[in-house]
Amino acid sequence: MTNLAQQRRKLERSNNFKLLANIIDWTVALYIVVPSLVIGFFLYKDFILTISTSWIVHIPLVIFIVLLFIITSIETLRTYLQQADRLFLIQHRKRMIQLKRAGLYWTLSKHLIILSSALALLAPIFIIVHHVTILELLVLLLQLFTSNFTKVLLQLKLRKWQQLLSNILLSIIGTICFLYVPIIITSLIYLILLVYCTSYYNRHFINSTKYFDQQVELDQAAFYRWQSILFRIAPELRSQLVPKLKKPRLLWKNSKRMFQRSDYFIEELVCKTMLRQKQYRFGYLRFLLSGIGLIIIVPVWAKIIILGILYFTLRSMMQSVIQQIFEHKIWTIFQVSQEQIQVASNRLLKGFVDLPILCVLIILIIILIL
Amino acid sequence: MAIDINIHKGGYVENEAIITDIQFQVNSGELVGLIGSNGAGKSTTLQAMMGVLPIVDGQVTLGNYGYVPERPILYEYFTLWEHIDFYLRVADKENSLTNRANELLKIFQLDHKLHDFPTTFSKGMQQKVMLILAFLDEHSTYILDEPFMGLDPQAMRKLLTILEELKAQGAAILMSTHALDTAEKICDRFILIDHGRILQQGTLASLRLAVKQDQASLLDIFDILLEENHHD
Repeated sequence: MTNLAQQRRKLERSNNFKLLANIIDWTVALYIVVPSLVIGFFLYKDFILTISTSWIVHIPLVIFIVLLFIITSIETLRTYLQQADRLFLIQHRKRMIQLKRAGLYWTLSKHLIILSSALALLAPIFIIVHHVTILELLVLLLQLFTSNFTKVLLQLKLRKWQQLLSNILLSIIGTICFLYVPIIITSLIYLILLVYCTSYYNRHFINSTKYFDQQVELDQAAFYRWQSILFRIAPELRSQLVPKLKKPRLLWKNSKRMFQRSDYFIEELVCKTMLRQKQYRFGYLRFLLSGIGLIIIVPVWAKIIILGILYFTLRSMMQSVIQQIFEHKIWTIFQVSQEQIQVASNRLLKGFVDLPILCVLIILIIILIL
Repeated sequence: MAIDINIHKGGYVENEAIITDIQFQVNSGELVGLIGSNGAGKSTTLQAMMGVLPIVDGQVTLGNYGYVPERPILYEYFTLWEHIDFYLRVADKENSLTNRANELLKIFQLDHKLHDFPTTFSKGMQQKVMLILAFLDEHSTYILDEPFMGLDPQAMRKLLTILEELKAQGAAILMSTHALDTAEKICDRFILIDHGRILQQGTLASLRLAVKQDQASLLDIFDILLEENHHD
């Protein structure tokens, strides 16, 4: 039933595309994505050319290997199952098996491409700095691929703490095998593990419907994965979530004022919203901190460009957050004037955008002078 | 005249009028009931009055007003006291209205919930928050859209007392409601609305005269008028 898998993949792609189009319109693409790609390319080129003298040579190979085993993972083994399949498709065993198998092949192929690309990007570090051969890199690819397949299989069977333990164990075993065991033996071990995992998944999860509900749940989560990520990046796309708490848990929990000045009421509402709405809070901090992090690691010429980009994107993000807050129906009850809204918006942009960016700029100038 | 409404047409999209030829007045010290079936155009009329209906052709005279919406409108990230405090700060009457706020909180028995998010309250309690916010400041006009919705009998009685007090102070009150028994007892006049048009308006006596039934209840009158309107 490859067609069904294709249809469902197409539906998912179109959903994600529509959502993405909401954020990345041509202006965003023009001002953020394209410059980021160009800057990224030049940064990478700079990095490769100066790799033998860069700070990266001081990081031991073992750290890279452990990190690769820990960081890389397969989110879910896709099945493309839906809740309604319990009614119809489940009665057509052969078609259901084909659908699940198509999901498995798609997941594994995609993961192999992603892993290969990541290793290709990191190859200069391995080859130039740590003198790893191409063959060893290919074995590392096999190890990571098999290890991640095993991890995602274990997720289906084990509890959370057991999963964590097994992930740590797999990372340690993988690192030891790569660094200390001969290539042929490592390859054999991982090939055998890969074959075993495939046949295990076939037997228990493809040919059987025992885990149908679990597989549907996981696949639905995977279906909405990009949407969740996009919502985290652009929280203003999501309608405001009602806090589940009965009362505020942290800071100003007894309805105390943030600002004692009486005319700072709109600022207080926005600041408390930023504090109490998880998406806004983390969205803002993630944006600001990742921008600052990027500024720290890139060369001087890129620092200034990224600071400029950070300023404008942070500003438009805050503007859209403020805009969304003002679209709330509560303003039919809280009757404030347009002038009050304008004054408050300007103050908020100064506090949330201008001030932190100015601080970063001052620190940057001090560092560059010293 | 505290409220003077003369709306030729009003709706959400161009050329699709939800309300047509809505014309009425509410005088100071008068409580007027806006009566109609579901979807008759009551809330749309109130929205048009408040200037939040996208398309309105007509004139509206309305002073500053206190408003109770059809469904409670609360801010998810503010506690009950923060709602009140915001209101006081906007009105720039923190000193003079804090006592009134505490009094209303006691009347509606919400004084122990000050630091909770009202979005987690029951429907009736949320309605009480709306009433507190509406009655916090003194207004010349009050627009109440289904104010009895979800209230317990005690709270209803307290609301009726407040409405009597406001009337005595000279406020003009326009109240949309389905609680016809209650409306019959407390309203001075009625505006009966159907399919976005006013069917009839006047005191209970004049409405009885219009349907030629001198003992008819407000519900009976409304039924008869609806029936006639649908036959037409």
